[in-house]
Amino acid sequence: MFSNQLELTLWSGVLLIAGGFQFYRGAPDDGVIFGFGALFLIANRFYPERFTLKIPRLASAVILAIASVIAALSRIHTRPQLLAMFLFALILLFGKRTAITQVDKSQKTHQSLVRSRVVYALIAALCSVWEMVSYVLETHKQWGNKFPTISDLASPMLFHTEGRIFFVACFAAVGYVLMFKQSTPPESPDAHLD
Amino acid sequence: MHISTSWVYAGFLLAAALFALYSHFHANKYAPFSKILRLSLAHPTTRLTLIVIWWWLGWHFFGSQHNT
Repeated sequence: MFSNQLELTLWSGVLLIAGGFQFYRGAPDDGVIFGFGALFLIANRFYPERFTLKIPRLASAVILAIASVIAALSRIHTRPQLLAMFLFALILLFGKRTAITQVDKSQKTHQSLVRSRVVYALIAALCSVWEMVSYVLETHKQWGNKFPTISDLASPMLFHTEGRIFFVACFAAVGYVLMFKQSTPPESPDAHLD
Repeated sequence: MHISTSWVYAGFLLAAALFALYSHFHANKYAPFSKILRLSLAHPTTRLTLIVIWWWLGWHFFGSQHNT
């Protein structure tokens, strides 16, 4: 119970900090989204089944596909894109997800897992710091556009249909995995490590 | 747009990809990414947080008016 509450607190904190940064960069709607996300996380923790819709998996996949087509074929930052994002939210946040299976504690604490998590977390942290520094520097005239952020690099591709199709395909695929990937543990905790 | 600083992001991606490949062949020392993902998704809070963040990324690039 202690660890679950701590985890909930930390992840809610992550979303709230991210939301605060959105207000800082002048995007209050994004800040509200992160705030809503934190509230949703907390509400779902205490009322797990209250905030899901009983949409069958096939219907969820169809809605995901429709949203993907709309997002791929319509220009970004337009009303059809808002509709696509609404449909994605409907499924990703409120759709019925694949059931969670319990994982043996020994699997979570194996040293190989800890090492890998540290490496990935280090790469993510360094990338985040670089992104943050780039964002701050590009607001200063002397640096101009010498330090582009990820948005500066990715956005031009989204104005072309081919680039947009690629991004939407990746977005929908990852969303599908997050929703429907079964979290079944391996047959034995370290079967593949032998 | 300055080309050299853009390559920093490619460097991070390459580092992650190379490590994923390395861990795949040295799983006794570094757990593969698939195992990390599977165990992360086994926790409802982590899974839901990832879903929220992933959805926001879509909003940020496709829907938000603050990127025009």
